[in-house]
Amino acid sequence: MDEKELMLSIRKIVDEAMEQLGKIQDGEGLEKWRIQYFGRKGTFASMTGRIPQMAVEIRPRAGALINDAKGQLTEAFEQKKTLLTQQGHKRTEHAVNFSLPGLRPETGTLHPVTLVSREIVRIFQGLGFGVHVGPEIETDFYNFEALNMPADHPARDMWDTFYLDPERKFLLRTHTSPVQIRIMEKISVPLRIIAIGKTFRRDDFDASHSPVFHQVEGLMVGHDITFSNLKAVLIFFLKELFGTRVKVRFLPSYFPFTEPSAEISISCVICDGRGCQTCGSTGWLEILGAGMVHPEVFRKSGIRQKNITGFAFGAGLERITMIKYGIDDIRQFYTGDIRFLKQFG
Amino acid sequence: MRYTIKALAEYIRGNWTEKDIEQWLSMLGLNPVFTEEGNDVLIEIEIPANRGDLLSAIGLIRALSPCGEIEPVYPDTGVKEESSRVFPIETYDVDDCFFYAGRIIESVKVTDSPQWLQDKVTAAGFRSVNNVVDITNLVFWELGQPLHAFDLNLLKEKIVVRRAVNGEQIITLDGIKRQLNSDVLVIADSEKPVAIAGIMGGTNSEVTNKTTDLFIESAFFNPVRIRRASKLLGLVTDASARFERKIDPALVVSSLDRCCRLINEVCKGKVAPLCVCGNYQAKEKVITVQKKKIVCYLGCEIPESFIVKTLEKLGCQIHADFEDFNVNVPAGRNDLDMDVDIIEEIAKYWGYDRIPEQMPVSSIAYSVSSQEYLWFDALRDIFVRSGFCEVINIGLGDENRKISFFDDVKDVIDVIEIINPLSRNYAFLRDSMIPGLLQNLKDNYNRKIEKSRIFEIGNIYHRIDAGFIEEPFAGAGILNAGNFYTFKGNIEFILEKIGYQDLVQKIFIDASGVCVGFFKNERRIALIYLPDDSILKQYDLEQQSVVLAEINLGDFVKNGFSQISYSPVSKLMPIKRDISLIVPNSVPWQEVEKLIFRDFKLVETLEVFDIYRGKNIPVDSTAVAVTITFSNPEGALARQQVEEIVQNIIDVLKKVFAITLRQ
Repeated sequence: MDEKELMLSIRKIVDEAMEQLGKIQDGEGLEKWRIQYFGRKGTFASMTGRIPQMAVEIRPRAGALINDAKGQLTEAFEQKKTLLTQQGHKRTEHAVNFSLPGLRPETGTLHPVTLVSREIVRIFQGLGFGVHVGPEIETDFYNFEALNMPADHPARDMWDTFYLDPERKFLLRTHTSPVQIRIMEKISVPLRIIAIGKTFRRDDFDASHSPVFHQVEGLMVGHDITFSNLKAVLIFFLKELFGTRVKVRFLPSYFPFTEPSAEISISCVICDGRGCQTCGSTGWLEILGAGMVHPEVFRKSGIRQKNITGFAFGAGLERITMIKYGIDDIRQFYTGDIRFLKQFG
Repeated sequence: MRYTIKALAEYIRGNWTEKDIEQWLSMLGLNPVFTEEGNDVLIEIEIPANRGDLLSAIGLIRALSPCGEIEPVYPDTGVKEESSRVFPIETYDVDDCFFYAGRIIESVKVTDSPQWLQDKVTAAGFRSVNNVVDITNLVFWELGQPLHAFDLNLLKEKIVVRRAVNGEQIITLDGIKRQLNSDVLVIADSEKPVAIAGIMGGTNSEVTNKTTDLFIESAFFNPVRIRRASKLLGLVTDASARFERKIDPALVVSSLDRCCRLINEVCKGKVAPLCVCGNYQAKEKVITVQKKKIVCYLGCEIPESFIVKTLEKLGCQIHADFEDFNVNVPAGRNDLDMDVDIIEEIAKYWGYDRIPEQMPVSSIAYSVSSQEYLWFDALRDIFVRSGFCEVINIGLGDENRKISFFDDVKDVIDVIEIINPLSRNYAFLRDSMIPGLLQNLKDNYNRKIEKSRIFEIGNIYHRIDAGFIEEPFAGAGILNAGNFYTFKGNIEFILEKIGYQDLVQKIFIDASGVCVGFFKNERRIALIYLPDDSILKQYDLEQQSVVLAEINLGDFVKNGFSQISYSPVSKLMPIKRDISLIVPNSVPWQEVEKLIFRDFKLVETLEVFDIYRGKNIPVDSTAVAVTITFSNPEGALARQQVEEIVQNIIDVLKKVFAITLRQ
């Protein structure tokens, strides 16, 4: 066998091998092919085995040619293998069912009221407000008197109260406003804080009332704090919370501890202000009470400096949460119902 | 007070439409609701507690007058005296009643009211009774002064305004017998109470169609006195609601005259001279408002002409100088006391929506947050990461829910009972997180949620000698989600995070189940509770796997989380050995750990990675698989050395605790 014959026979083998390889459809065929050519008793093994019987001058050349051919086929083999692997899913479709759903992690969830509190804290921390808490068991002084409601003040009827002792000195706070007093006693002016916590009112349960609920309270006190500052801060807050589309409305209201007092509504997020069941066809949802801190509240808190002004506001967290997520019954918050809670994770 | 468009219309002069009224009421924050009612329109508004002046037609119209080109039409009060009879009046305490006025009207004809009067009082929300009573109610509606008509011939000798004597009784016009005491102010004659002052008349002096002579009362009663009596008797009337909010003393006599004039017109009758007790002289109330304060307060300029015109229409007299407005406010506006009250009036009529928004410009204050809120929030995250769902319970419970388990474990002595609860079901403040959580697990189980992990952060409450205290607690519970040890691991993990490294564990077992208490200096910090099946049965959870826990966060509130302390990671490959032990159940594991760390200094960590009971394990023992990690700060450890230590550990454990190696 001369060199030319050898070359031709190798090429023939390569051509045949390539043709076979092209027709192979699955891993099984590919493996058969590999064994046929590269196996211990395969084509190349036997060819290499025949080299010693060749003429001495041709032997090196034969080795090189065989190696070239092997290299060429190995490369083609690898490509084919990759190709088949890519198509592999199809091939192994019935071995594993990859369409089955994954197993979900056992995660916990935060209560929706906590989620909304965090959102509110985030917004006000961005404006430099500190976050505070205060006691749930309060005294008459902090809950009423220091907030400009002396004993027998008719405005006390606005907050139906749970009392803890017959003298009615201790009570469950009816709002977070007592924190205003506690903070002003403790921190010097200027200050800006919010406070979040549980509040209690002697209201029976219904779809929109609960004897226990949460409030957020805000207070900013300084030298030139104006009603127009109050408006700007609360509009910013409400737009951050409900989106920039909402319109904000300020109307006069009455709280003994603010003067002027305001009631703040947003355009209904359900109907965009056109009027629906949620907003009682008014197009507005009442969401915050606010006002300029009453001078008597400053006096009771021990702030005597002249020209100190401030604003305060308060809102029910459940109400905000209900509006934000479209929850129609406040009682849902306290059922501990996992089906309800898991939706907010 | 009940208002309709038609009823008000008669008292308004100027140009207005129904739409105007609605818009003005709304702008003033009175939240009007207009409802068609026959050929009239009912106006419902919310009147703030400090605005008694809005509880009358004239007061309401005066409040609206700055909004448009309108003004109130005051009713005629001129009265012609045709009799000379007077009736003596005594008041015991000027503080209860500093001014009392009345007139006798003789020879009246008490009948049903004429139709126009019936229509008027019905529109005003009163039930038509007879012409006399209807007129007193109409004038009350017009001017805001509650009036009362007595049958003069049923009054003995005189009118006395005094406190009731304990044990006195009166049957009020609603037919109910009321027990009186010295907190209640009454109108009496020389013998008996004839009315509860400012609240309701008595049947013993009631005007009926047999009545021929009247005594009409118009007085100023102390608002606090009326409010207390009204609360005490549980009796709220239109009159009491008005007196509570302080009436306008300037209207006492003119209302009386208006009433007598109408009675004379409608029921005939001869009006007698005015009788009074006490004295009312209009005191001027002048409030000084700095012009610059208005700008400082509202953050914008409001034209002076607007301010003057608005306040004047509200009945104020203004004297303005270069710096100030001196505002003489009408006696009926007892909500106007200070400069800020005047500023509010100005802002209200200017319109809150017309005040521009301006973000505060303020130096960045070091506004310290209380860590408490943020720490609790971070703690919530740890629970959530461990797979727990947050619940919030209202924390009010019934008698049974107040009882916490394990009386000998708890240091709480006394629960707090609300003195005026909504119902017995919500009468007690919780003194443990556990009953609420157990209830949650039960409720979920009943909803066919057979598996749940929940936690709650909130206060528990109890009574101590000096008063009441609330303590922050965390509670957690699992239902068929993990076992005792996985749950205990969660709780121990949290205890470590909040700064408790070496709590002493004590086990308590009684009829209600098993409790593992975690103590620091004899003070219980936490407990894990494995309820007995008898308890679970009460919650319809028998045969279910339930474990609960609570942690006192009192220290956490002060100290926060454990400090993160970094130590360099060893460059040497750690040497680990896993061994499986059979541990008798009587052995406290904490002792085992303590011993190993004390006696084998090269042991770096000891981690339990499996706990198993059951097949091939003696019933009084548990199989515990641990990984021991060795390290030697002085250099590498030889394999031989480690094998020796492991063998020594096994020997010691066997000798001290009878712990054996699991084969």
